[in-house]
Amino acid sequence: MEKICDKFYGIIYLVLIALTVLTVLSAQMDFARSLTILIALSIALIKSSLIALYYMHLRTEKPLIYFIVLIGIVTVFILAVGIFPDIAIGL
Amino acid sequence: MEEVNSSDSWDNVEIGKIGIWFFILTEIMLFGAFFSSYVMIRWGSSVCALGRTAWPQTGFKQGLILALLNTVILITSSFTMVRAYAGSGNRDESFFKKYLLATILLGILFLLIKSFEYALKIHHGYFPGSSFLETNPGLTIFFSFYFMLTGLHALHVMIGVCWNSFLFRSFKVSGFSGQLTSKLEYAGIYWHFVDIIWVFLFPLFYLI
Repeated sequence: MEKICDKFYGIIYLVLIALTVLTVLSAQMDFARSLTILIALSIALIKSSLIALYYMHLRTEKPLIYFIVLIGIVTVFILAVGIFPDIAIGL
Repeated sequence: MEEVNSSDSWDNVEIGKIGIWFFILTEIMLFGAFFSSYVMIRWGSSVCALGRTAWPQTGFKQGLILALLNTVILITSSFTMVRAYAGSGNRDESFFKKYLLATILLGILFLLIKSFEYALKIHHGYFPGSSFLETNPGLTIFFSFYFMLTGLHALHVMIGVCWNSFLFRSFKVSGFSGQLTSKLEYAGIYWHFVDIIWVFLFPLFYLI
């Protein structure tokens, strides 16, 4: 059982390194500005989800812990959305 | 009468774990607020708009390579941390010691590389108040955010290194215990969160 777990942590590690390389390579491509931002932040979101779910063991946590994390994510989302009107005015 | 499902009640989760996750919640809000304002500032900027790197060409490649190296180091340290936790759970002394020590050393290596990168930036005059920024005033806010956010992150890495070193010493003094495994789990949650922050800092400051 433990050997399977160790192997799995290793696979997650390799995926994280591969995604890091992919982020750097995609940023060197001559994509449109918005696409470059979208790719870089999407990869960051995937990487952070992998770390949280598997390395922080969020995947096996109780709903209460998910609730605590959700409060933070929702608050940051409100903060980010609240700033959008300022960005729109600046454009 | 229907039985109440208490799987999500406070009583069923270790109090220490609730504590560390509440701490992570405050950290999400802290860094989230800074990230939101940073994105807004760069989005609306005419000098360093988000989408292309804001760094001047001189010394940019060295900075990118050092930051990439630091990304690999932090991800590797997350891997070694989770392995140390597994070693603690299995009461495998040499496994635990090897991986926890590797995590501490990788944290120190991250800080050393970051210091070297700061020295390079200062050498090129990329800091608020430098003569370079007097001729490029539009970049001042970018550099302020860069030093403030990476500095705040480095402070978190320092705390993580101290926390892990303290656990290593605790193990040396009193060996394995259920308490040590719990403490290691909390330290691990913190350490992985520090890694997550860097996962966002790296593209935001060096790639887009």
